[in-house]
Amino acid sequence: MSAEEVYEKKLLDHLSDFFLKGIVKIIDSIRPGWSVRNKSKIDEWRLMFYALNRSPTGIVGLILVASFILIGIFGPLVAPYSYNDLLVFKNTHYRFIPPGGRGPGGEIFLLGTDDYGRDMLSLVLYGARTSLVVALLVIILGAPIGIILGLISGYYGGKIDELIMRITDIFLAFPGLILAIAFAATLPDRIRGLLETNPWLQNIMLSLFSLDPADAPRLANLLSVIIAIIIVWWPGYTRIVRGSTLSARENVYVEAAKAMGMGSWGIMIKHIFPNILAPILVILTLDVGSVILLEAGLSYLGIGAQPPIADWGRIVYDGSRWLIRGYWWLSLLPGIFILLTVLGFNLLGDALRDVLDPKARRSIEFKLKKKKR
Amino acid sequence: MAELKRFIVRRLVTFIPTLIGVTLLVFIIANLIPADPARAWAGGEKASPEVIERIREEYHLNDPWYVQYVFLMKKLFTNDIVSPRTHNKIWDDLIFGTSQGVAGAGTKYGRFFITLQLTLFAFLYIVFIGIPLGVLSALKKDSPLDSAVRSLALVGVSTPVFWLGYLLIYIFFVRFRVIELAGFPEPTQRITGIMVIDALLLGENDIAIQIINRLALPAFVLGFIGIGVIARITRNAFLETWNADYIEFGKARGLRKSRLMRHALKNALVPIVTVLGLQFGGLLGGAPITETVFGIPGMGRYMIEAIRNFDYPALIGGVLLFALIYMLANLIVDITYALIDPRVRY
Amino acid sequence: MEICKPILEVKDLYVNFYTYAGIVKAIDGVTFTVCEGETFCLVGETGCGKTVTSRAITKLVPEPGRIEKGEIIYHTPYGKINLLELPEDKLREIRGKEIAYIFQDPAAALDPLYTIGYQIAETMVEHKTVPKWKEAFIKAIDVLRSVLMPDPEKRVKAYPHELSGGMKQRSVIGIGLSNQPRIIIADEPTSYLDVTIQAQIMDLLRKLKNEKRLTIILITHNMGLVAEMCDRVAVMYAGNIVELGTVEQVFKNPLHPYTKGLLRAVPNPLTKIERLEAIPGTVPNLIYPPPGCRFHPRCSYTMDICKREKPRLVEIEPGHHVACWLYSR
Repeated sequence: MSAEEVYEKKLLDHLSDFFLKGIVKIIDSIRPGWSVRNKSKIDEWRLMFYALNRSPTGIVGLILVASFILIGIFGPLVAPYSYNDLLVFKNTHYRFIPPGGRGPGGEIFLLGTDDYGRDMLSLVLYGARTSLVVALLVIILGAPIGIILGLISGYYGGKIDELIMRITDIFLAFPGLILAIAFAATLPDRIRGLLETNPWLQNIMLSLFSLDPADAPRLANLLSVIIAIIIVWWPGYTRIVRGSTLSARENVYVEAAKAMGMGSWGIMIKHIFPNILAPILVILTLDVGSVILLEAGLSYLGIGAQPPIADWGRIVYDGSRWLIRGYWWLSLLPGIFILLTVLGFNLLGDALRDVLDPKARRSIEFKLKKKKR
Repeated sequence: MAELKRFIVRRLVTFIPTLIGVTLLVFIIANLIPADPARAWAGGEKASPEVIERIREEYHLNDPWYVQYVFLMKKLFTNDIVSPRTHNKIWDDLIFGTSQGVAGAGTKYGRFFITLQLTLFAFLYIVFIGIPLGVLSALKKDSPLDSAVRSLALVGVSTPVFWLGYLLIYIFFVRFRVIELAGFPEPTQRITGIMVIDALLLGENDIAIQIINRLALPAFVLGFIGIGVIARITRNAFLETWNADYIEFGKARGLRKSRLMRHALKNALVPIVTVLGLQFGGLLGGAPITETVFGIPGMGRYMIEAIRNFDYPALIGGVLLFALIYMLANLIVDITYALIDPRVRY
Repeated sequence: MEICKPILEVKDLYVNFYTYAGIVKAIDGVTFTVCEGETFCLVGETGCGKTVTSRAITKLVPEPGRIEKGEIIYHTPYGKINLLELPEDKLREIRGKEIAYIFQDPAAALDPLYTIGYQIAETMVEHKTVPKWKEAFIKAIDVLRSVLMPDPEKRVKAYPHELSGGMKQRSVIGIGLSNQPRIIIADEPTSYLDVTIQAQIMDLLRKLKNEKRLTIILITHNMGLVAEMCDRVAVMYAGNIVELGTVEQVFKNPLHPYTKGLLRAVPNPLTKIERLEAIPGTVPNLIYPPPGCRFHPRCSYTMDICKREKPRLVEIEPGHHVACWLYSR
């Protein structure tokens, strides 16, 4: 009897079983027979899912993250208005409509409108896309840097480790925000040049961010923020990967691989990387949250996305001028979306940390089996 | 003690390469700007060529980059370089105070001291709210309070500082006018550099109260992340020591609970102090946003202004100071270890 | 045999531990009496409940344990009290003052961040036996001298990590003795020490006992130590006392199959045996303890009744008790 049938299951468990089966099928189609050889590994994965399904923080985090990703992908497509629909030029009564209020034409604005008569809901939806793309690009472009340098540093040790660590020291010796501001403020001119000479890149970015072609000149600021965040983010990430590598290197199987004459890169890729994947994944999840927060902070300070591009941090800044007048929804509402999104990633990362701990899996296994008996 | 002195000197020496690295890094960033800084400093497009040329001469902008860097560092060392934006010497702006500030009015306090004061206030919140909360939640493990503290830590690190600032401004200023957002009274004489302490030393209590009123909310906002983080670290560290054998033995020898807690807390202090040190750096880093939200003329805003105006002499001066404080905080953490734990040797 | 003047009576003690895996019935109806001035030993394998029993005497059972039932009668010079019914603050005044503990691992029992002088002084000040800290520090030197600490004037200012294992245990004993307790509960006081140091510490305990007319409850798994130190001994197995008597009685004429096995498993200091034998089987899981006699799955004399009913502790000869169906039919 496979482990799958022993347990008492909830609806979510069936869902994750379905999901897991899908993944296994995909891997099997690439490498036939994989699932037979890795049966115990699949069982561990299943238990991880079950443990996650039983962690309230994990479920809340998952829901928040999933909604953020869905809004990020589909938000701009379903938004009632575009981010640059300035309704105020149609009718000045479109300004400062409170949440749930009606416009002059009788239309309802769920989250209200701002000083230009822009629909706050649409701004928030477009802003989710901006945050999502920034976070994705930072992780996709930045994580390999951190992983490769951390692996090299931790595996080889010695002079190369010393050099990489001294460089990270310099980056970590002062606040990331200030450094990011400095980079983000100086990079746009060079990036603008790059975009002008490579229109294909510009077009990809425009569609990724779901922007009007008229806003192409403003892309440079957005991209420079992404690069700035990568520059301040990699040192901390590298250090964490290095730390995990250091402890993984001490394992007997690494010794054995060395004794069998396996090359350094082979050991790093085949033996060390899979074993530090769990902590890397946890940190990455948590870091998506902090990247979104940092990006919001930068755009709040006026560096990064320029109006009218919808960006959560920038919307809060633009709206803050009207706070004293009592138009609170301009700044306070979009901020809640930042909070919930970042919270989602933090909750999920926190739960993942627990789930990836083998002890947690054993206790879940124990509980589920006991009930059956 | 001699050991400690040697340790401090050794550590201070290691500061030098990092400081050079940091300033060089920022210098390179500043030099990435294709725009002509001299033109910007002279007043933009309308600037006369003579003025631009004079500025170029003054800041050695025509020389190779390493000459520029050495020149800048030398001048910073002797406080002999003027910010092209504020027209004050950089260390006057940041530390010594100026006879005429940006807004025209002079100040006895440099921008750094304003930020330092804000940071210290935030630090007080972290220590006096975070640590007791952590201890409480450890003592009441798995209670609703414990989960609340855990959530507070997660919410804290997830909250955009500026949003929290505006939320509190809306509540405490717009709805109920209980705080002030403008003005920054100074005591009549500068003694320690921390305004509120100076005011108290001089007996100018009303000024001290005004300063506290002005900073209470911003400092809370700045410290909010740290409160949750410290509470969580304290909880975990305290739980670990609370289950230690010496606490069990303490019970067996009939110590009162308050004494047992003292033993447990002192033993938990090493990880707490580590994170507190990190938090201090985090507070400095968070200062630019908090200062912007609450309109506090501190060092964070100074640096942002410097970046926006290509004022890289001021930027590098500020970065130097930031890095120095950051490293000093770490050094203090290491020294504190030795004060707490007799086993620590240098 | 001298007439026993009881100082401590443990009556029908039950302790459970509420773990996530289930309820561990760690102490299952333990009863014994300790006489004034004697050395009473609790022996048994690791996990048999001897430490828990000793901690339960002053209600020091650690989480998630709970004392379910029982009485701990402590005979003060003024009368009897049930320690389990005493409020926490009164109990605290007894711990460390009337009944003191010596823990197994002296390195862990001492707070690493305070000098041993401080920890001795603290114990005295907390019990108000010495009113002022300053005096207490001076008295701490005397305490260290009384436990034969070399160079006590200097050691009083030493931190635990600056002392050897033997000196740490001397300090722990010093803390225990600082308030002139009537009972010392020594929980495996030498198992973390080198063999040579073990003998020194035991000599010290014997010397202190004679000088100060202490009552000692010694917890150990070392049968040699029992023979050497104790007046009376209680053998514990899986949360029960299976045999209780004087050292002579138990070592020369062991009745319970478990005691017999135990004595065959170690070199018996009082009689000669040919070769050492292990007791077959393993210590039972106390979440689902065997019904009846908890030893029956490992016993070679098992009868039907052993599997059904739990034997009571009965007196076979004066002072010699055993809980086994072989004797109490």
